[in-house]
Amino acid sequence: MDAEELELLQRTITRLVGSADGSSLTAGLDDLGWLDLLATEPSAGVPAVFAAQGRAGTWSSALHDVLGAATADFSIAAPPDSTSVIVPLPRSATPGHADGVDVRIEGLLVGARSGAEWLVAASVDCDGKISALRVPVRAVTSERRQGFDPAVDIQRVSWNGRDAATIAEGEVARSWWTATVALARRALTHQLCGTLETMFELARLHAVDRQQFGRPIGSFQAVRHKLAESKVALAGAAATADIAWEVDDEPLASATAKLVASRACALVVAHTQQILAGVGFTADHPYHRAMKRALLIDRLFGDAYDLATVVGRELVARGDAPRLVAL
Amino acid sequence: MLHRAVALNAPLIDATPDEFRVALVEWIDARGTELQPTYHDHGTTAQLLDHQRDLQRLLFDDGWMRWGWPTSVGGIGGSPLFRAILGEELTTRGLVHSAAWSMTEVLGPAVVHFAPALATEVVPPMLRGDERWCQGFSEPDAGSDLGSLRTTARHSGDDWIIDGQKLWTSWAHHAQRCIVLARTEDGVAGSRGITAFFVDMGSPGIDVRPLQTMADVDEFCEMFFDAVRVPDSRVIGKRGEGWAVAQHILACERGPIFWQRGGWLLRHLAEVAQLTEPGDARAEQLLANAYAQVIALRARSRATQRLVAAGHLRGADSSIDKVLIAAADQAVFDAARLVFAGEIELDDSDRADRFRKEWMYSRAATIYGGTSEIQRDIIANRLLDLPRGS
Ligand SMILES: Cc1cc2nc3c(=O)[nH]c(=O)nc-3n(C[C@H](O)[C@H](O)[C@H](O)COP(=O)(O)OP(=O)(O)OC[C@H]3O[C@@H](n4cnc5c(N)ncnc54)[C@H](O)[C@@H]3O)c2cc1C
Repeated sequence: MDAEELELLQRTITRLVGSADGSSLTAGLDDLGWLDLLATEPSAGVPAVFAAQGRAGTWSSALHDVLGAATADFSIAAPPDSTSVIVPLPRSATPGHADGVDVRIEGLLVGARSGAEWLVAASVDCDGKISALRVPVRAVTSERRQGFDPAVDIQRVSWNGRDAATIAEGEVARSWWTATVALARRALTHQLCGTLETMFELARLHAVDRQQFGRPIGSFQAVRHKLAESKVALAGAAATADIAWEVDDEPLASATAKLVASRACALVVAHTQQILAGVGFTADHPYHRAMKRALLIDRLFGDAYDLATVVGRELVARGDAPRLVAL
Repeated sequence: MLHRAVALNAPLIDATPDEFRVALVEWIDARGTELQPTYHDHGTTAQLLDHQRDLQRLLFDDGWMRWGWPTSVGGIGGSPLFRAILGEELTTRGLVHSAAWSMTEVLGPAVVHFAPALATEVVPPMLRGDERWCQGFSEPDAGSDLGSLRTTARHSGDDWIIDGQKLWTSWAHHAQRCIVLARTEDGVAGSRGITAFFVDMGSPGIDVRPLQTMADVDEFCEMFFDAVRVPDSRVIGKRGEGWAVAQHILACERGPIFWQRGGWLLRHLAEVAQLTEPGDARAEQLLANAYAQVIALRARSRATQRLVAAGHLRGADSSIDKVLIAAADQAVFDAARLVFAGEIELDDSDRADRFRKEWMYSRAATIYGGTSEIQRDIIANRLLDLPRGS
């Protein structure tokens, strides 16, 4: 895809993503050929869709599709229209935990497509070995969670038993899960950056418009510097999200990109809320929806603390701090 | 000698950045220990600058130092990205000291741009390491508020006569040339009426006094100018154009040079990672958070390098790079200090001394090249369209 085609694609996606939400957005993306794009040009399609969703504050089944994308690459029998991949709970690396033959699956379905018959979970055993397990949807306990951001369809799922079908193990399963997590982290990083941009812009406009002491609050250095710091954090996060697609070392680059974005999230949330002050605290103002969305995304596939653990362990294990980015 | 170098490197003229890097690394590897500093710890200022000079001569004579610079100033041409790659490969291996290496990139481009004729004469010896330059901007009463500088230059015949004082001039005591900002017009204040001069440090009337930094390094100096004569031909740009020259230099100092600094920081972070016990949860957090900041800087810096190569760098954009690098720099050496658990405060080993000096130098990252507060003001004014502060 050349630069012009990419720009056209981004514009089309931005328009769609800003005008529909939930299942109608999923339908619109399907019409646009999103699944094809995900399979053939993820580095163009994923950033465009997820950044646009972040900016517009919408949610489709794109994350569900992203989680299913790697199954085909590893010939794991899990067709996306009949299968959902389970998101691990916060602080957990996999939804499944195996203890001998007993398996416990605890996780989330986030904006999953309806009609799935099977759930796939990465599972880790006591020796740290990963396998891919499949269980029928009807056997799983599922509970709708409202949480912080009821606009997103989140199901808390759990399953205990011995008869989950193992659909991949060994090196294949490990590589599949590593690739899945890396892709999900990249997608969510773009969405988080988009969401933070929207919050930033709300605060910036407020700083220009809102007058106190006879002048716009954006003329006070305490306010200006909060916005400038936010801008710096956002610029760093957006640049890191972009490079994560070009780096061979995708798992480290993706974890680092989401770590950078999660760090930016903490800073931008604190600064923008403070600048918007009273009006930003009201339910009528759009700010709180973006803010809650940011915190939800921050939580999925590792927040700043979890990701720092992942990245830090990797640096210590390698005894190196890889350059990742080349000119 | 020059012919040999061009012939040696001719196939690289159309090289991609990566092809250039591969060829350069091959050259570095083939030289082996010949390029290594002979001092084994941090090194004194004189030691590290002398080593850099020797290395620069080798690099120049074999062409590497000339890539990315225009042929008019002794360069070979090719993408300016090649210059950034050279710096990165040297700092990442610890073959040069990152701070000292930045001089050519901070000061060179402005002279090429504003004084092309002068540049043909003065840039080649600078690239070859034969001459070092320094930056005479700050004064006792002009730090962040550079526009309040008081050094003056009076026109007299075909010369200018400079009087005043400069402060914090890095490596002035080892420099042969200095870019000096001085007021040339009466009755105008602030950024107007300033002219940039290319001054020989050996000129009568210049007194240079080294100052020790808190790291106990003679890194910067105070300079006194007492009726120092500078010929007309040494004006950089036009009379009164000094502010534009300064902005050009500051744009380089706040952005493009950080590609190599990122390599330097990763080198130190890798060293800390090697010394960390597996399973040290606190160290993992510190390392990862510092690493994330360096990678964010590198991701951002790559975009900046591309803007530079395309000739589109805006000064305000590099203020973002400056704030990012300053925080990353401090995070890396803070991580080192905390992970080493007392070594920096209590030990006298070479490593402790080296990291101690680097940790202290990192404290200046939010100060030199314009403080982080000043960068935030620039971002607020020029990138965020906020109403001006009072
Ligand atoms: C290691 C090192 C090397 C250097 N090398 C050189 C060199 O080679 N050549 C050269 O010319 N200079 C050099 N400098 C000087 C450097 O550019 C100045 O130190 C810097 O611009 C700040 O000036 P100042 O130290 O006078 O601080 P001040 O300007 O006095 O600032 C003091 C504090 O007040 C804050 N402040 C000032 N104005 C504002 C404002 N408007 N809003 C908010 N906060 C404000 C600053 O951010 C800072 O925190 C070097 C400095 C260091 C530390």
